Amino acid sequence: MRVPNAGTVLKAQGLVKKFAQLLAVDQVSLEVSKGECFALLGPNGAGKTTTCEMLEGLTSPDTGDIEICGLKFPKQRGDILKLIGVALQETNLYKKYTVKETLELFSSFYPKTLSIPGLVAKLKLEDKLDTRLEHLSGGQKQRVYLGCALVHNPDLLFLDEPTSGLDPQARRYLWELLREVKADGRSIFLTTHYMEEAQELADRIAIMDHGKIIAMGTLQELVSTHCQGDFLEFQCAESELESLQNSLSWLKTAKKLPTGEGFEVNVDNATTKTREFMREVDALGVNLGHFSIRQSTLEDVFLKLTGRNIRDD
Amino acid sequence: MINKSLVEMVKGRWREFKREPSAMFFVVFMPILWMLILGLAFSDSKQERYSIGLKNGSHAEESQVFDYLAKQSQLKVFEGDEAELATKLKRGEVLLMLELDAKGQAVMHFDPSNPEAARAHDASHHLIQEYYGRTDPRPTIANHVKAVGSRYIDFLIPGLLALSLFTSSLFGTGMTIVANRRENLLKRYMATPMNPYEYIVSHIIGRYFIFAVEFCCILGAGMLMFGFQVQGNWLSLITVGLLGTASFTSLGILCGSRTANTSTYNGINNLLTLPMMMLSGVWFSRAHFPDWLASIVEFLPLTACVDAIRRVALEGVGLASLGFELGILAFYTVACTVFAKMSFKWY
Repeated sequence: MRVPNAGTVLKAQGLVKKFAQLLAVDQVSLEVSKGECFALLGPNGAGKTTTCEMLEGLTSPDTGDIEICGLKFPKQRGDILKLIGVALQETNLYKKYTVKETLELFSSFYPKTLSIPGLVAKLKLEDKLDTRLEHLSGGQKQRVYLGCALVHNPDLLFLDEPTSGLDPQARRYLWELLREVKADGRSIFLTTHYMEEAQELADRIAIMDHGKIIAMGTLQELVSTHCQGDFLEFQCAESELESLQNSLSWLKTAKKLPTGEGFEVNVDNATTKTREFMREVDALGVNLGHFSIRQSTLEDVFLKLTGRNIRDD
Repeated sequence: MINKSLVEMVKGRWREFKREPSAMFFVVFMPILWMLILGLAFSDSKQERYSIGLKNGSHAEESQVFDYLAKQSQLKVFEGDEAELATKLKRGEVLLMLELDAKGQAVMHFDPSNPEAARAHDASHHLIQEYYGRTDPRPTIANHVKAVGSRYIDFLIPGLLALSLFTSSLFGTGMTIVANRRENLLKRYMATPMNPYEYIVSHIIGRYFIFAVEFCCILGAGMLMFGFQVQGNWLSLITVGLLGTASFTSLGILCGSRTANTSTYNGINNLLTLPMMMLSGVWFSRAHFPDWLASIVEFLPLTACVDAIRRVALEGVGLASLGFELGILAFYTVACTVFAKMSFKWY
């Protein structure tokens, strides 16, 4: 067995969790280093929340080991809970409490805590200190909720779908906050079904599907391992694509865009391929509506690995 | 035991009560409203008036007797033939049907199990004797007394206090726990080092603050509006109230120990509250129940609380002679706490 290095705050090995007939989590192993933001990405029902709750000590795994900062569940649960901050999915705090009262309540659970004014300033909620939660927007509530997880200055923060249900602006705002939290040297374990969120925040990403981690690495690693090269996107008639494919065999893998307007093709050398493509377009007199080159994204990796789009149910 | 998280949570319980207008309404204004409505409805000590039917027959003295009865303030008479009066009797519009038979004897048809009809019979009997010139061998004198402590309102106020403690504890505690569970808050608490039992204890202590409000408001209103007086020791009364609150709160925690569905909780709550509300002698004395029912009802926690409060407040009885009632309340407190602990689901 490998001894985790000093920089490892979370280490999980061979986690399995079964609910009746459903194998919710199947042999999941992962590690989070100090100061790292680790994202567990997957569609709804992939087993992310179950994994997260096992790591938080809320659900016990059927088999497998979890170690947080060198401590283990269930024996050292009490000590672990002082080191981690948790934001569960879809929790409603008391709506009749003010922001200050809510943070004071959560502070009271821990022996050592941050000062509330300082925390509130960090959350950019200074002017809402005495506002009741029922009068806050979704994004503001989510920040209070993040505050409850940060109140004891934890080493490791668990965030289960932190921006689910927020509008894009509130989401970006929260991301900014989370980047600051990370800059303070805290480690973050995040689950999300937003590609963009994983891409924006995570140092390393694990893709989860049907209870299994099917790929893990940095964004670059994932893209270069599973979906090399770039994508050419273009718009033309289907018959024109066929004639282009007759002279350029690499165009045979072109697929219709999900929007239905145009095609895309994965290529390894975008510059050369673009030149060849344009030459043929001119030669055949193709009426090209649109042309662009884009880099491979996490979305392409997911599609490649699972054969479906993350938002498809 | 007393630490800052418990203090924070008890503060929270009080906050939830104070900031929830409907909680305030049910705890304070509902009982006072009942007191007002029932107190005013039954405080009027007008003489009872009975509706009776007089059956038209053929006896010679009939019209004089019927005229005499019709003049009495105690009676409200309807004359008619048999079919007509039989219908009225069925509908409860008259309590009895009176006729003079061939020998001139008054015959009264009524249901003796209806106490009001029995009283109507007695009144009619006396009036008929009076008409025929009865003189009482030894007349009696009725001296009407209106003692504080023996009025209906005096009976009602302790009942309303107990009922208010019962409904607010059962609903307030259980419902909050169920809602917190549904909203994932209990799960969130489990991800903190807080000792989960502090959460439960905070509900019990929080209830005592609310008890103080109910106790002062209901008894205060009774004293101001109806001149209610507590005959017994105030400390005994408070002790009974606190023990009652403890047993109702643990019952509430037990009812809310598993479900995350507020409608399910409402169902359980109604299943317990409605029968007890009717059976425990809040509104009327249990003396009217058949013996077998009365002996079952004695073991309900609300009955024990109602009885104990009434005996302290109205009869001035001390705690020492309330062993049975206090025992029942203590039993429910312990039993519900044990079962709640066994079945409690945090998430």
